[in-house]
Amino acid sequence: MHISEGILSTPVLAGGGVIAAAGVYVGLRSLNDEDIPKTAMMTAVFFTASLVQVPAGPVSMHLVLNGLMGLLLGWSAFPSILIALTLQAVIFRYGGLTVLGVNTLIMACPAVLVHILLSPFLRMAQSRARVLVVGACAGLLGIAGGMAFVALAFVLTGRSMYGVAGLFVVTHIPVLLVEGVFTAAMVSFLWRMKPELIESRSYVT
Amino acid sequence: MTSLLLLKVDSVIGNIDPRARLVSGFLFSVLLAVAQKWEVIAAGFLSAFLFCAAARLPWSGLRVRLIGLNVFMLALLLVMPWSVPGSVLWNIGNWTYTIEGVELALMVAVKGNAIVLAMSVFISTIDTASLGHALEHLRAPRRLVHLFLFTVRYLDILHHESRRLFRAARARGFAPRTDLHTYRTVSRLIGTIMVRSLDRSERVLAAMKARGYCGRFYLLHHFSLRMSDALFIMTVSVFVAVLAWMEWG
Amino acid sequence: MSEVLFKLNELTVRYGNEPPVLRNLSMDLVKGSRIGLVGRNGSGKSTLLSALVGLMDDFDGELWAFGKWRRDDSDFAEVRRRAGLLFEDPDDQLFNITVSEDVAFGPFNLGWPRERVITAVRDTLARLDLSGYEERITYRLSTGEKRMVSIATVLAMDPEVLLLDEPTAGLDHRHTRLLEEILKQSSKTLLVVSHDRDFLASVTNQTIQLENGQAVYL
Ligand SMILES: Nc1ncnc2c1ncn2[C@@H]1O[C@H](COP(=O)(O)OP(=O)(O)OP(=O)(O)O)[C@@H](O)[C@H]1O
Ligand SMILES: [Mg+2]
Repeated sequence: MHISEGILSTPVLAGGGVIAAAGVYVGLRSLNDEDIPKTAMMTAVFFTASLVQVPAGPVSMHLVLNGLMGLLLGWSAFPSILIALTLQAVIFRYGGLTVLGVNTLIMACPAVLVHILLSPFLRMAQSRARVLVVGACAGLLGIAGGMAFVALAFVLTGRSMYGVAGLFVVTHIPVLLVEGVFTAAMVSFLWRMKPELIESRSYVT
Repeated sequence: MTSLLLLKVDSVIGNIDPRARLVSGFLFSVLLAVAQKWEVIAAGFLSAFLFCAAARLPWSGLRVRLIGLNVFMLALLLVMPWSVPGSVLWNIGNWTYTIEGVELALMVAVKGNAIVLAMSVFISTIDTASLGHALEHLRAPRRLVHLFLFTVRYLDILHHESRRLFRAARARGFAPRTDLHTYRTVSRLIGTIMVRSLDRSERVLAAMKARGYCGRFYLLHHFSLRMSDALFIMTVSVFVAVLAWMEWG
Repeated sequence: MSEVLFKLNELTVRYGNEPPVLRNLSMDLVKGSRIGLVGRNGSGKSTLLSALVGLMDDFDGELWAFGKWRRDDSDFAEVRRRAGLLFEDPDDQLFNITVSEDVAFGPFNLGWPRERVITAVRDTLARLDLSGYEERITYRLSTGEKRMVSIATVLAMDPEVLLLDEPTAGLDHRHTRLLEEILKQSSKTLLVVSHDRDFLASVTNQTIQLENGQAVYL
């Protein structure tokens, strides 16, 4: 879920960069030195997971997992996502440097939203069914939020992008559904395998 | 096993100071992203292309990326002109597909390709570990740099581990389909990688502390600018300056 | 003349751009044969087992398995259902939450009905002296326990051929004997990698040594 180079207007690119920098700053503040190896490991895991293709009907798609990152990383999702996107930009030459800020916001803002809205419920969830529900909501919110930010970036760029924004939202509805199911499965797996990951306030911060 | 991190690029640009490449790539991309004039965008595309050719970048990797990008750009060409006002090319009722829209979509496509080319030659040729060090030298926040370096260090291990797990699942007859069994299996595979990796990162931290780590990394590589780097910076600056002058001058 | 299950014709396998690990290797695996595979560390034993079920991304030469020449990943789907590969590292094999889920994973992939899967899981665990482990969490087992569970995940699929990569590594004496008995009593075709000569001598009756990427019959 990212926007390519060369599409957005300068104010959108610049604004995205500034807001993302602020988010990364908050995220880094919430980390202490001891947390760095763990957060880095999570970043690497999410990067690796984003390379996995899962079939969705006739096509296959990559996982985004920003909702899950929100649940597990809290505010450090910001630096973590920034790094994952930088690595993607460098290694695979995806959406590159100028859109890095906007693309970070697209994934990280919903992640932090998930952290604020859903983490308390996850900590209170006592049954597998509830964990599944919270997980599904995290997946849905992560992608829906991302779609909203993409649409916003297009719309702020200008009228010429309205059609593209619509196309983006429509083509990402399958992603939304798959991520919902997938995040629910992930969270319930982690809840059973390593409950401390889920129960602590947020694992890293 | 293919490594994610070692993009072996045997080209002249490999010897240029990573900081110089990083800054050049950044300036070039920003200029192209901001540019509005056709001449500037076309000249930018051409110079990015020339830099790629001069660096003798292998085309195979680049081709894959450019095809992916241009499939998207094609979609843009189909959709965008419907929401740009101007002289009508086709219409369906009130919806119009305009020449101005086509022009705008083409401009975006050329820009996008130019930036990807510039990124490829300037930045994707930096190996990821040097990139971390270059960032540190350019005074990026220390924790961010450490996070980056640790991530890079783990990346290959994880890539490897993920391939092994998926292989083992295939050996037991797992074939991905669109169904719950597939999603559950994939989520468990990834979850397993995550849980094991976190345990490992705890052991790594313990082992690092045992060797006296207290939140600081020391850089083994120190970069120093050489004549060839200065020449490189000057060449890129001239290109960027000319493009900027064409846009605003 | 018995049926040839696997036939390798001038098989060459390499990792990335490195020099090949297996070089023009030719060998047959006949139905009912019991072969021990030996060779120095790094001689390519594990690589060979992976190649047999099509897990090495690309290979040169020809590979015949279960009545057909196989080349693409899709050709190997059937091979993987009929030949059970035990990985050298049990951490590769186990990824489900509980032991019974992990053992059931393969049988479900084979499309067996639920009741049959449940019976297979129960019986296999019982045979391997793992009754009572059903709800244990795989990730918290000891190395030897993980090995036994990995073996269970392969045996539960009831494959025609067993490709076992160091099945006794990390097992205590009692479990080694148990596995030995199980393999001796089974009539399946066996290709077993092991550094334990006694174990090989008792479960196999033929030895192949890998040397410089080639198979040498001993
Ligand atoms: N994923 C990999 N990437 C690159 N090279 C590999 C990889 N796996 C194995 N190799 C190389 O291939 C060769 C054969 O490895 P293999 O694991 O097949 O040996 P082996 O005979 O099973 O050894 P051991 O007795 O130690 O298990 C080794 O030299 C090894 O370095
Ligand atoms: Mg081996």
